[in-house]
Amino acid sequence: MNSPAKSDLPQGTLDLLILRTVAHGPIHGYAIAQRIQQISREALQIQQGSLYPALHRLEYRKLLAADWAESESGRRAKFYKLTAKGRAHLKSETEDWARLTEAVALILNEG
Amino acid sequence: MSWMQRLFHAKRMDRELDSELEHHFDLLVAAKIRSGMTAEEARREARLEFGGHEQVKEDCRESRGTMLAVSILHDLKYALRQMGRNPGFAVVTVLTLALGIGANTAIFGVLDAVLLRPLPYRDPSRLVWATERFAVGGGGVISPDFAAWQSRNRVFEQIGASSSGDSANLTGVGEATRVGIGNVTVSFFPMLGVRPIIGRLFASEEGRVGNEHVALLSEKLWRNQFGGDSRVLGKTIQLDGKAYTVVGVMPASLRPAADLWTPFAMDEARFSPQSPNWALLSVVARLRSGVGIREAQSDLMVITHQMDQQYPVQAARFRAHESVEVLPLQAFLVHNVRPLLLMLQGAAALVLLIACANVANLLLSRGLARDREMAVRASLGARRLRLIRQSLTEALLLALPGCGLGGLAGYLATAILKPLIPPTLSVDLHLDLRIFTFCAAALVLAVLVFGLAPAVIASRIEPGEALRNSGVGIRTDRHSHRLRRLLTAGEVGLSVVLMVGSGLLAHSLLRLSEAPLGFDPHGILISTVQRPVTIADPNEFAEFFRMALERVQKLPGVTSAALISQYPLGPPHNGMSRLNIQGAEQASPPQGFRVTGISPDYFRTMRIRLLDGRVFNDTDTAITQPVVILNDVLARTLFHGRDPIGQRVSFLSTPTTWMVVVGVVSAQRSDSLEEEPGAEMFLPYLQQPSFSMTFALRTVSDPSALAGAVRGVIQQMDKNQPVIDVATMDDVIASAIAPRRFNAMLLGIFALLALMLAAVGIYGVMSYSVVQRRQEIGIRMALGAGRRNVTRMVVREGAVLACAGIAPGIVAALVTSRLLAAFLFGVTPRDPATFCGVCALLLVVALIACYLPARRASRVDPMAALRYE
Repeated sequence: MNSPAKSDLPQGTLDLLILRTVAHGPIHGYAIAQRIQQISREALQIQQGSLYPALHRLEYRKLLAADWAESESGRRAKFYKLTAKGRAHLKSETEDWARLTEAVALILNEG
Repeated sequence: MSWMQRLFHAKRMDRELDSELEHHFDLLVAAKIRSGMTAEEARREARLEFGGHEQVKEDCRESRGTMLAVSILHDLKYALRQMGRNPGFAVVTVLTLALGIGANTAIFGVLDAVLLRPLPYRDPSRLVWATERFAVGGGGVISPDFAAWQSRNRVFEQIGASSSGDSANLTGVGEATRVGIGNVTVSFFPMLGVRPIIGRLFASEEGRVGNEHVALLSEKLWRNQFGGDSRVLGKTIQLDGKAYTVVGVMPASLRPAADLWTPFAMDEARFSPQSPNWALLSVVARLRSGVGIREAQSDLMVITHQMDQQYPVQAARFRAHESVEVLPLQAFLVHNVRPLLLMLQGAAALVLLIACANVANLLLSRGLARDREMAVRASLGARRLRLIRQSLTEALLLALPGCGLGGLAGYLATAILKPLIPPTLSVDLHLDLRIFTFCAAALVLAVLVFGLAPAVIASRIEPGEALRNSGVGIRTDRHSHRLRRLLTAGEVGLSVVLMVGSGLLAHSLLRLSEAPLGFDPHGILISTVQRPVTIADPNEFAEFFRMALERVQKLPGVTSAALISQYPLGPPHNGMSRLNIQGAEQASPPQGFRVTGISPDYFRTMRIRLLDGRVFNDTDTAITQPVVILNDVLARTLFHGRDPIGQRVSFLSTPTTWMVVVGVVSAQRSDSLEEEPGAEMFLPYLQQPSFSMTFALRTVSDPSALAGAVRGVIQQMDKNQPVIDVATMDDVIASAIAPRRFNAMLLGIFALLALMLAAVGIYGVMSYSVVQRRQEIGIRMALGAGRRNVTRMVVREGAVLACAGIAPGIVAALVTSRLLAAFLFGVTPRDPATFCGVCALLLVVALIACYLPARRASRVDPMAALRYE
């Protein structure tokens, strides 16, 4: 049932990136992929095959909410935004991530 | 939204998902065009980048709560469509499952109820049945020995006895009726630990002479004759004219069954070794806890030996080499039916095995046929789990209706089996859930394993490869085709075992129905009248029957009528074991012989041949010279070829009067259909009056039409006199054969099922083989092979397959048929005709099963077959 992520991101990281990206305000799927790509300076390529299942999973877990609205191109698109629960989740996940990377960095830099 | 709502909104969500993904796709294309690609290139690139649209959708669906419900619905729809495309397959599979489950559930239900479930008594494992065995005669405990056991044993907590076989005319309530009476010691019911439904059990003082006129009714009699009215307690009923007070009603589960019970009075006359009036008792006792069967047996043996001295000298010969046997009560009650039930269970288990093999076979062949489909779906992006789940859905869609129908079949079969169970057993028969679950699980497992295998294999394989190998999948072939041949040969082999068994039983039945009876049963009506034994003067019985016979003879439609004290193939008979011949030292025939009182017309009515001398006539009465007629078996045993006519014989050791042999008749099967006719002696009923006589009427047309008229005659003479056992002689014979017929039929059904399943198996394998070898066949035909050659090739392959099953099947049948020996009549367990017949039949069926595939093969168009690649 858990679809294996096709990106090289560690498990769970994609969710974190999506939540962070959505935190700026309502945004549709294509734009999420674009923004992650830009901000990471093209280092992270998000496949649609991973993005949409992740979006729907987060929506299902009520971390994201979605609305249909007019997009910049004038077409109806599905815009995602963070729920209160999503915001809390993002906060704790970000802290966890920071702790984790810090710990990993400590070990990597030790020698 | 709950998942239910999601399920219903699935369509809308699907549309939304589509437009969301399209939006993304379009933006992607637009971006690529902006970066300088042509519209064409941009779309191509985007599509590559995007991956499978459907798969993304599927993944999205799965990542939500809708996934299971929606996609299971998809699976179901798809599976149903598959079933609809090949309904024959679905029907055969479901029926196979149902039959395998049904047959086993029903048979095991009986087995469990009869053999395994404890008796409905308190702590039944401690109940034992005990009997004495003497040099002469069968089992039972003579009453003085019982009294000794009761007072001296150290192994029983309680001991009780019953003497059955008594019956009496019940009058005073409704229509007069004949009831079977169980005469039980007052300790009997407390020992079993049963309680009355209403009222009380016998009190201990009711076991003494003078107090014994109380009765316990059976639940059945209470409901039928007394309308289930609890006011029956304290009422007086008449048994053969004697008054008894009803004190209680016993539950229907009580065995051995009787219509009512009276206390067995422990009077001196029946319990003194010096008295000649011993009763033969059936003894049941409750072991003290911790006491074993052997210990009980030796304790009773010691007491029986101690009793030897107490008996008069004449008894010594009779009591020589006596022994005591003790059995668990349950084992004693079931010993007759045990082998039969085990045989049926064995047969049902074989059917289950064949059904499993067949289902596996069917699913494998279908799996192979759908190899390509699986490959296509895999290459279109269906993931492995998804394919497996689809197959699982399809397998369950076959398994669940199969189980449902199996339960229904089991229920029906249980209802059919119910009347077969001997009435001596306490049986509460119902569909057994445990065994149903077991059988269903076995088959569902087979369905799952063999239904899933193709999907598992397909999903493991690179899709491209499967598609490159055109036509039917070649990869899984060799392996699973060999497996399927093995399964089919196994089915054929097991079928041989079942068919040989059922063939032997059918053969026995045929032999039995051909066995010469020695009389002509067609057109005979019998009906029995038992006069109250309280009538003191035996001549009164005789007079009543003489007058009744006169009237019955005059009934319209009766060509001849006769009286007989015990009719052929009727209830257990009266016999004698000693006969003195005047002038001979000692002349007892080695075995006992049957002694029957008859009226003069009996031989004419039954069409029994007179071989020598004369039949009885109206001048043979109570006051004339006693005469007897022997059958030829008895005449031969007694006189060894000397002329029996005029010889004088007597039952008494010091005769005062002798009986003169006046005739010899040909022997008839009186005791049992299956035994050769035994020795029998006939006496004029007026010289040996009996309280119970059977009218035998030869009629012009349908004998059963006269039943009412006979009853009318009797009731006119005595309105309190019931008429019992009214039947045609053909019915009597039919019911004597009935258990055998039932066995043969049941095993026959199993064998037929096995044969059908094996045929389906062969058909499946051969059909597949033909499809697989299409190209080969095409090449052969292109090279000049005729249709006949091709047909022959396919049929030969089928025949080889069948023989591969038949050969080991015969070996197995030779072993198992010996277990059937006890059920056979007139055939040996290795009867060559049956074995040959079974093999021939199987081979013919196998060839028929090959015919369709063979014909299909011969119609192969060589060009089309070659192009197929």
